[in-house]
Amino acid sequence: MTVITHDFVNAREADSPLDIVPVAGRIGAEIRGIRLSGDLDDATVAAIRAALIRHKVIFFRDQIHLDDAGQEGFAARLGEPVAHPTVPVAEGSRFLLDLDSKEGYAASSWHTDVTFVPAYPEASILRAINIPEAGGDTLWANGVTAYEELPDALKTLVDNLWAVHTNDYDYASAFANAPTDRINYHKEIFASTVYETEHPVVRVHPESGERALLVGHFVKKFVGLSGPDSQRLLAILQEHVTKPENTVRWRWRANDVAIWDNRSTQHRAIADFGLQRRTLRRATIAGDVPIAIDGSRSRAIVPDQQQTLEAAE
Amino acid sequence: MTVQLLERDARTELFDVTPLQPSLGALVSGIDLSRPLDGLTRDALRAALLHYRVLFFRDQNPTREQHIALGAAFGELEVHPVFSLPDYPEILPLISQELAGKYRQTSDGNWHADTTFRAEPSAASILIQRVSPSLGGDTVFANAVAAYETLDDETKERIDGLTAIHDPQIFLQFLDTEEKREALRSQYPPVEHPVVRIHPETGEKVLYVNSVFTRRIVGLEESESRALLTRLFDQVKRPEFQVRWSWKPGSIAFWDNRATQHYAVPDYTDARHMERVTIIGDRPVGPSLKS
Repeated sequence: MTVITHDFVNAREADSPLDIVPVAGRIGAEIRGIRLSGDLDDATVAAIRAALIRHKVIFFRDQIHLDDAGQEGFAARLGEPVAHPTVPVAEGSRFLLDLDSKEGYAASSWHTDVTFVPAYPEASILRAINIPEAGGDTLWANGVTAYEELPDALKTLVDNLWAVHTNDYDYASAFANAPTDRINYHKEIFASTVYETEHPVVRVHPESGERALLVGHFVKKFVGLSGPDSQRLLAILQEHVTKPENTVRWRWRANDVAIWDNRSTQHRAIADFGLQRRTLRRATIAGDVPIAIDGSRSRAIVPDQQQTLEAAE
Repeated sequence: MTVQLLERDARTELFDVTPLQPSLGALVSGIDLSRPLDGLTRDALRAALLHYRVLFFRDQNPTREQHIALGAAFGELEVHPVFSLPDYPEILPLISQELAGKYRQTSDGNWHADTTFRAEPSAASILIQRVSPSLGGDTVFANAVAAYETLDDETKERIDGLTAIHDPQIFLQFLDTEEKREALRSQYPPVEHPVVRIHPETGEKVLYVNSVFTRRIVGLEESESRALLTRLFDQVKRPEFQVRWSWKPGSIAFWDNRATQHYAVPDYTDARHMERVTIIGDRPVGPSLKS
């Protein structure tokens, strides 16, 4: 386990072999001079993984050579690719998720991907295909610095707190600007199977050992708190995670690739691009079950493990 | 492209304008701000400012005298009551060396418009970065017209006739004697501004409360005032109305302080040195007072 300790949280690591240019003060770095593919050597893949854990989200410009198969090939080098649990894969791909917001909306509320299941993805690889001439940026937030900066009283509160995450959540507020029929369509597909999972609010990162706040828009309530109290507390924690000093804003160009550590970040799209076309494809890397500070693990509530086992038989 | 380039053709001979985000912000190039502005260029910059709300410039190197002259081309300049350079009173220095290596102890960033504790808050500010931190220290600007426009109708109706109290109490912590604190309080007593301001040049409605200087809404119970202000402060935090600007030495931002709010991102750990000149504005007028 490497524990990252330095004053300057997002500085490039001195001994990284990669050409790394940090973007914001606490999160995000551009990596130059790399051609992403399924043929990258082990040392390069290891360096990319190390940069990912350190900077939380890494960006690669001008990956013009990359098509669906190339993106899938690179994803298989980075980890174990998985398809989304409920949304069908993009046409012609094995496991890519299609994000095509030609009708002017996007996932514009803060979230960590797929936290409604226990072993949610450890990373996502997003490739830009069509990008609006203006607008459509994405923001990422650093859950580790958000946790570190909490006042002690709030740390004490969240250190032993658990939250229920579900995919049966408020779609209308997550997809701002989307027409009602599109919201219903999303809800039908996205929540075609309802999941509920209890996660610790503070996740210990399995590789860095850092503690990260694990909340976001799939949180339904906190264990032991009422609905209204849960909403207020969630708003407080989200405010800490998403304040500008914990975030990086990325202005996309076509053929950009962004990779984020989904164990330590949240992200959101910015739905300000009107009816311009915005198309991206996402590969997702399998993750493990989160571990709380006390060593206990996240657990499925719905479907419970028994149902899951029966369904698998 | 959906972003409307107002009068762009007329202006391209004077300078180039590249919009940065759909809601606000444009990069202006092909202009040297250390030189005196002719009337045509000044008027074109003013029009671009009203349209894009914040203009950005790279690689400028005005002296302090030239920085003051640039601001003075757009109106009379303020002298800040707490922060100003002894030899250049019109210049407000923002020097953040003391933050080095200890960001956890620093205060959070905050959303605000400048000097709304004044009866006549500033109309516009021109800020230059003299020394950059090695990383971080961006400024995020928000469009307060869009923030108002996207409120629900019920909230708009509710706030259109309201006023709020603004004061400079945030600066008291920087004054080392009770005498100085008392002087600030008596020079700038709490002032009442409309919650929705009519922009004096564009006629647009602007959400005109901010989390630094606005204390309470007049005529509401404290708890009700707090709840409404929280709701309104949250409205400017939506990134759909924002542009995030990364500074380099010699970068300048010129914002319409009547139509925007901004947030200096405290995510850096070494020196950051900025200087600002600030143009005096009008007394704010709300919709209910407009004849």
